[in-house]
Amino acid sequence: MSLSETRRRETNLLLLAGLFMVAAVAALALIPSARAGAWLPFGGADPLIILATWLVCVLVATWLVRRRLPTHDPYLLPVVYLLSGFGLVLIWRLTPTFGLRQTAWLGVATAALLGLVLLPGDLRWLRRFRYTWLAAGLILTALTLFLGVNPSGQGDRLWLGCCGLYLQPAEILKILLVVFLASYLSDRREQLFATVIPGTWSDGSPRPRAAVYFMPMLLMWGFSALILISQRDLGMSTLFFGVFIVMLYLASGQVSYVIAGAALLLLAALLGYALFDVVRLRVEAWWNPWADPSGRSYQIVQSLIALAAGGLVGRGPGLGAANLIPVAHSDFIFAALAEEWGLLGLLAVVGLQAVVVLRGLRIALEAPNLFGQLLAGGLATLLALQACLIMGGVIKLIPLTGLTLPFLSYGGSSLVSAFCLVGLLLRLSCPDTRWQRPRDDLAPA
Amino acid sequence: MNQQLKRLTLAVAAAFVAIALAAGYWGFVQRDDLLARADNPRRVLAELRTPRGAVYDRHDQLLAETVGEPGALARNYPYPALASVLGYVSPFYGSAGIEAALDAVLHGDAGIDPVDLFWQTTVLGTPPAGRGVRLTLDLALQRQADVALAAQTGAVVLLDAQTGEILALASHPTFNANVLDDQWEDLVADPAAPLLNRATLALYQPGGALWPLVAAGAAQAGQLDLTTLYAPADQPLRVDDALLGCRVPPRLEVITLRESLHFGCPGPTGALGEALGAPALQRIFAAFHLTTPHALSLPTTAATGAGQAPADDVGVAAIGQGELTITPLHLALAVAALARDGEMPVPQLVLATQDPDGGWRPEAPAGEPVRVLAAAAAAQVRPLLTNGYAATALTGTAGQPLAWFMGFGPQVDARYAVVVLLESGTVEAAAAIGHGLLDAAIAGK
Repeated sequence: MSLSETRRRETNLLLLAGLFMVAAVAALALIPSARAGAWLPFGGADPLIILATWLVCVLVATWLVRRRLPTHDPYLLPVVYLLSGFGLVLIWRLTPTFGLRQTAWLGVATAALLGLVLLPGDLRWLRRFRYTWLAAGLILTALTLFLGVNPSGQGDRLWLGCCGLYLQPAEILKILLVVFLASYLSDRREQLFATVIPGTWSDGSPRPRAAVYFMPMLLMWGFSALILISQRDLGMSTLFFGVFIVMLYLASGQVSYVIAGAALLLLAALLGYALFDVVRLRVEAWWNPWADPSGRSYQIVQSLIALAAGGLVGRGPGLGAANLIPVAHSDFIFAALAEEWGLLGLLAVVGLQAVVVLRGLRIALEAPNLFGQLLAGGLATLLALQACLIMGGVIKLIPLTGLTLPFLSYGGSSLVSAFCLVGLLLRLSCPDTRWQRPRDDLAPA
Repeated sequence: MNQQLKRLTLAVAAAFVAIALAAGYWGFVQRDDLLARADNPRRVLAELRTPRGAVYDRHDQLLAETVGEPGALARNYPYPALASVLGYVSPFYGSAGIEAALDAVLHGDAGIDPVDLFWQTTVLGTPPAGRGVRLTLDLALQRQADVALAAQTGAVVLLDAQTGEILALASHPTFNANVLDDQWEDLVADPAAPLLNRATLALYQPGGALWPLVAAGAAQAGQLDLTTLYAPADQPLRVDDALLGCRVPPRLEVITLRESLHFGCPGPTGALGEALGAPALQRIFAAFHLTTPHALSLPTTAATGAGQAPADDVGVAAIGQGELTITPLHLALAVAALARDGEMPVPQLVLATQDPDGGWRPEAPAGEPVRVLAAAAAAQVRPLLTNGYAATALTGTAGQPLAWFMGFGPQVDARYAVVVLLESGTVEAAAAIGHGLLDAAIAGK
């Protein structure tokens, strides 16, 4: 595909996203009239603020990304902005103040994406100082053990707060972990997965066993898991474990890692079921939600009813009753979407999430070196796992793990983190930037 | 690496497809079941905008209506004491009573073509308005029953013995459905069980109330002679660990069956039961419909496996202290059968419902009257109930015995049947309530 063709495709997709946003915002403005069944004067400027902010973000982001990364992937920006715009509409309809706050976060997230895209030079520092970055992320996350707060005043204290702004460090940590793993695995692949029996280096010193090379990686990953488990952040713990296993598989090509990982996950689930109330409640609410539909499985049962209420075409924007589901704007936005936009809307979002993931995997396939492949593959996996864990949880396919739906759910850290991820993918999709030099790769895959 | 990435792509695609299929399962396959759940408040919430139909008594007195402005419509019950019959409709606690049984009419979607319904509700957003229901109840008689019961725990059933139309159906204590959402927790926890409709759903020990029915069964079998003398008059019967004597000391040496009912002496009926034998007794219970629930527009119940326990002493079963327990509704219909030459009507609570075009359509009775007894047998036993019949029943606990009253009127060509139950009242109080209602019903004819 030539450059101009790519550009045209991106422009067309952005126009479609813009059309959808105009229509969705118009629907928002019409909600009071639709509810009353009669024409009412439009009240409030919120929908216009959302649309204007979204437009500015899209235009600035597209302009700057095109300047800095001329041959970037043409699908990522339109799909990501369509999803996050859809998210703004859904959140505003559920809780208008959260909708406006998320609109502001979209600006911050766009700035973060552009920051990563515009950083001069290459991103080798990201790869070189992997321990520093991951340690910084770990310290921030560990701080929540002592200084953690919850913006809603109750529940798990996973946030760091100051001056009315709240940050969930785990959202940043998850990207740093992927960066660390990509860097470590690409540098140590041969030692880690060598099939030859350890012998001696050419100078006669003994070669350490592969297990030794696993140590630093397991240690760093173990720290991350430990912090999340001590926070009882079930979703993030599962996500970290899953990404770790998939990246091990990507680097080694051995399915046995996936099988062992699945077995370990099952073991962890059984242990958690026996030891932790939070795990037991989640599993029981998943296995038989009908046993306690007004108590512990209220949320999941209401979520399924919302799905049923939506049917094929949905009940219409603003005409559903998705506020009945606790935290519909966050973890359960997928169910709120299904009620008002129906299975068609739901399938559209599933499809769009899939497009982002599949583009990420495509970028990994085309990356010129092992680090790029592992980084893009890991980031795509992160996105895919997170989306599937929460979507599957909301529709009772798997036990519920509290995670946000990337791009759509309410949550500033989550949105910024997702946009940072896309920023990295955009950079990786532009192979003529100078920062990916094959020189420090041990062997092309 | 490329192979791993391709496999990963397939796995991710499969996961997204699985999510889409699971969403379709809830949105299509399980849709109707989920939407019909009591904890799906959407149907009720829709009635904030579209009025629900009104409920009237047989003389078009208002019993339930929807008031307020569209968008904030509320259900109002001008006569709250009827809550046990009318039930409630709450976004939080589901619906019950007539509100639940006639929901399709009251909500407005009964008898409307599904395609029209989809068009009106989903596309146009103007769902059909609810339609009215006219009950067989007579508000004046109902009010009299409620006033008479007042603070006593018990139930009253007054019905038209000819048609089976229920004229008054009271259960005390009851609740106020106008403030249900505020009081729910207290109502559920209340040991007096105000949410229970005692007339149709509470199973009581019949005790002496059963004796006329046993006599009727004996008459049907040609084994009844009201003038047979039994001695000694106050022969007690052993029930569990207690000896059950006469309710009123007879001061007689010998006693007829007729007199034994008046004084509440269990001996003669016990002897009659033993003469008839267990299978015959069981047939009598079944013939009077005591072992099966009646079909009504309200939930009804019946004791399961009553009288089948081999340990059940035949004499004890005959005097109503065995396994068999009945609802006041059961007894009211049995009285109606005795009053009407042995034909038991089918109970009816709904007189008419409103068509989509506003006209009233009479509700057909749920079935034809059933002959439970030969007319001659009914005529032979009827004198036992002349001017009403009061009896007590021992309950398992050491508390006060239950007080039953049953009667019919007018004495010639009987039209109305009444049953009163007081959980801790005197038979005189029960009789006063019953007589008052019969007199009022006859006077109002």
